[in-house]
Amino acid sequence: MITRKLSRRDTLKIGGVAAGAALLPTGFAANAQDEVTLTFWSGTYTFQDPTDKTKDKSEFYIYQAIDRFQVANPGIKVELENLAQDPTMFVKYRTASVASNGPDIASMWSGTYFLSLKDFIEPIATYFTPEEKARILGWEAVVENFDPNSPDIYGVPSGSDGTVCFFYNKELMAEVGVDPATNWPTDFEGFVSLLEQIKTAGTTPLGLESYGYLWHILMYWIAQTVGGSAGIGELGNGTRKFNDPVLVDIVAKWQGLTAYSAEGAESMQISDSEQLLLNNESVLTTGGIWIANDTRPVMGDNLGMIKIPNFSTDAPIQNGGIGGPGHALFVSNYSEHKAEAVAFIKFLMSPEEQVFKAQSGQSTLLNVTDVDGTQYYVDELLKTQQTWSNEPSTIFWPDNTLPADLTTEINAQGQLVWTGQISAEEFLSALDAKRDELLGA
Amino acid sequence: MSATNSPAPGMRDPNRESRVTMGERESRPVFTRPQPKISLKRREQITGLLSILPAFLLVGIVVWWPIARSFRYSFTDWNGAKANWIGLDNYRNIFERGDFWTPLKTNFVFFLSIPGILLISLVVSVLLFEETPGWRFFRSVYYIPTILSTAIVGMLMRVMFSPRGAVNGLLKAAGFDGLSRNWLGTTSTAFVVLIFIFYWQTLGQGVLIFLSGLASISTDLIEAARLDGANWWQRLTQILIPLLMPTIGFFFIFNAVYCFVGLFALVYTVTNGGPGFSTTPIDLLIYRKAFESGDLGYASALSVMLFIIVLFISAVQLRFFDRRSTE
Amino acid sequence: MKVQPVGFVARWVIFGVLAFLATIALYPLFFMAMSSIKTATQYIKDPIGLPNSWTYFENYKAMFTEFGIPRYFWNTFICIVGASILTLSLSIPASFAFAKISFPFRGFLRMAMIATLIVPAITFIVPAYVMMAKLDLISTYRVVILLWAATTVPSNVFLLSSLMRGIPNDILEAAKIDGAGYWETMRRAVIPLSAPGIVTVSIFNVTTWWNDLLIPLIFLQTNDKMTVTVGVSTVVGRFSTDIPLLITGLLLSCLPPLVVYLALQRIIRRGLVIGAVR
Repeated sequence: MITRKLSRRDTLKIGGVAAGAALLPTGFAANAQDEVTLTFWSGTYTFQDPTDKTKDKSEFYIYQAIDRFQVANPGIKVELENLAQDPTMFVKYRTASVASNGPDIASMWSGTYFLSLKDFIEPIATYFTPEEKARILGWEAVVENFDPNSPDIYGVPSGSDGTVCFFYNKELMAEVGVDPATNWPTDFEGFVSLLEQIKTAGTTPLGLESYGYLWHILMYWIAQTVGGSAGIGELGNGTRKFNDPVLVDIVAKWQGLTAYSAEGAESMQISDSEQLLLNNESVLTTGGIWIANDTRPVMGDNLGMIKIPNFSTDAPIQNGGIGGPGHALFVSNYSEHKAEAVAFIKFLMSPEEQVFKAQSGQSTLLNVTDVDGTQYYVDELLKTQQTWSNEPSTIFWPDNTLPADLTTEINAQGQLVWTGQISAEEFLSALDAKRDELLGA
Repeated sequence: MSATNSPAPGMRDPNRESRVTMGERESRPVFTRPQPKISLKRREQITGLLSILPAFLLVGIVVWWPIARSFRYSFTDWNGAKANWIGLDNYRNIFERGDFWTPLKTNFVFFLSIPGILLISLVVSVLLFEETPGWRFFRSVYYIPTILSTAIVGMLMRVMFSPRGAVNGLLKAAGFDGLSRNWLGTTSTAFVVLIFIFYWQTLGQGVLIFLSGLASISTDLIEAARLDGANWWQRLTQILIPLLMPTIGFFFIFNAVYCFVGLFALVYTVTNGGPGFSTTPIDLLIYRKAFESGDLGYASALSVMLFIIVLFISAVQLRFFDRRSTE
Repeated sequence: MKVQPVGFVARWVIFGVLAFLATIALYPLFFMAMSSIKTATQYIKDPIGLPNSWTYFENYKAMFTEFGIPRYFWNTFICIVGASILTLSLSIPASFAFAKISFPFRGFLRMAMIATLIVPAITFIVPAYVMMAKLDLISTYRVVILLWAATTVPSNVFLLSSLMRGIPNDILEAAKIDGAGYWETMRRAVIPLSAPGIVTVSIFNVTTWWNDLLIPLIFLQTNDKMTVTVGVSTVVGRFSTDIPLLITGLLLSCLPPLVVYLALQRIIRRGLVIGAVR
């Protein structure tokens, strides 16, 4: 069987694939005295259950998965460290990696977030056979330049965030006489007249928060007009200009939405926008399945879910939304146990484990072709999200697609253009300027 | 008187020396007379240096050595994994991009707000000193905001100052509808909120320091001034403040340094540097460059520039206060 | 100790002002307490109002069982005690030397020490980490103790040396005449006279360390050594945070410094005496 000789890099690459195939699901028979310990930093798995706050750690999905892995692979121990799920996890990983003292495996946000750490990450393409690759969806989230066929793959997309859409108050919507299932706007003008109807009826139509007002709506419309992630990538690398009449038109019209939304969207938290919805003070808010989790206990079946209207009927991508594989699993390139680390990742992505994950309902949506999550979910909205998330119309998070500095610039300028302090053209030119500065520097 | 006769431990016995050169009766008195002044002074110097040595060792190794490395990295394009020498490119970029001066303005706004909180702390301390009913309770309570971590302060303030938050609610209830607004949405009001938080957290610290200072001032002095006809304000400005100069100096310098290097956590949690970049202080920029862009070399260069500026400002302040503190 | 009698009306105006300030200062504790007994959804619906039920203690239970806050308290406690001992044993002799002993370059060295205050932690944290990793100190109590002590020595020296300048020289002379050596002078004269100042810097230090996130976050990589701030921060989720749970953690974590402050503030009141008046 496979011995510890697989520590040399070349043999690892070739043998890694074979090792990977052989390791699952039967197990890895290392020599008993060569016990391997993998450190795994999780920035994405959940350890909280709002309905039962005294649950023991061992009852959560990832701990059970680790137990199963250890049983199947005697000789490998996985030590889990749970990180706060905010940008500090990148600070921690980066600092530790400078001294090559970080974990063997980590799970963090995909796209430019973790790609900025690529100097410390082991390229993973050679560890996967084409079949293994094909059954997993979302590789554009873990490669540079978002080319799924690129050899520079740095991680494994480990789940989907679903598709961002509108969540709405069914009763208030019915009062206005709108049934989203049958009568949903197909372009911007239709959308505005819907908002107008709601406003006349007396409620604030939109309750947005400081990420969603910009990325869920505006950047979605821009993304669908430029043709998805590829187009966003072009904006990021300079092949396409921001300050283009088509985009100016989108931004200018989007600015008009302030008349229909609760004041202060550009600095509100998610809990603030949820508060509006829960108190019947707004009709629509944007978000993903987390909105449902937070608001269901109060709204129950009164919560509706519908996709964000298209900006125009001739946008290349229709009826989608942003979202997709927001998480990635990856291996550090200074890890001394790369084979075992990859084995663990493959274990987590295996069909059996994906079923467990779906059953637990505690994690992200599935992104594999051979397991259908909807069979295991109980919540209707969750099932719909699962179906949506793997459709090609779901555009991968634009803020994960653009360089970090440019994302920061968009966030900053977005606040100014939304509140009318700068014009649509000024906004887009500023983005062009920042992008050019980043490329030129 | 024992000091003059018995030599200090470790010092050569001058009396012993004289026995060796016996024979020179003329020089004997010179050698038998011990020279306490010089040896004592030298001893004192050594004691002094040894006293500060452990402190300097710890700070030197744990803080200064990494800073020196950081300084070296500021001349490279270090990203954590590789570092190539690029000379003064980082510094050139700082000046060309204007990255540096805009955030510095934010820091300056906070810096200029220090005299305000200084005055408020002084006045409150004096008021507490009057021992009005409940003063002990108030003194305890004012320190609470100082103890709170930025995490809770940021969260609380965001909730309270949001357009539908408590502050606007209270203003409306009190009839001041016109004052309620989107606090975090425009730069000027965002600064008002941030400075309010800064004052709120610093009041406790100021009261703590100044109350103690006041407790030590002789009441006769103040009584005499009152009898001379000085009113409350004159007593404050012409007697209390001059006597409190050393503690005022500490408060001022400590908070000035905070305004330049410690704001990051607070701004990050309350406004995240917005709207736009208008409330981004320089240390938040350094954090972003270091950890979000991975541009550690450039961040190091920014830190060096910041250090030089703050050093200059602190030196000026120290000189100002040191002069006024000594008699 | 009254300075002068104030008019009746004036006293109550003063009381009003102070009471108003106190309300602003106390409100956060009140807000945290109220929020900690709400469910997540209840908080979202009504962040500022009173909780629906006064006996929902699930958040507290979660903190103690699932999050293991007692372990974090213990870790933080050890680090704070260690760092206090280290920083005081270095700062006190140094401050005394700067205040009362003359030696070459004294002024310059004092400035140099105080200048260290100016360095923001993010500047030196990455090289410091690399150094500590080489020394194999990561995820130990020692590394946090060393860093915490080193970063507080400058401010301690700044304040203590100013205060110690005020120690009357006759007391020191008397001690010398009595034959007291260096350590005895310290023990019998310097430390007792500086006690209020020492307690003050200790309170400042403990407050700063207790709330410090960056150093424990970076240097303590294993869950079993985490401090309270880092442990509580793991409640944060990417999109959705159980805010009452987070607030409960933050409330629990701010209680120890508060207790320390309340217990020690008497000494402080008498403190900063020496040197404040010159």
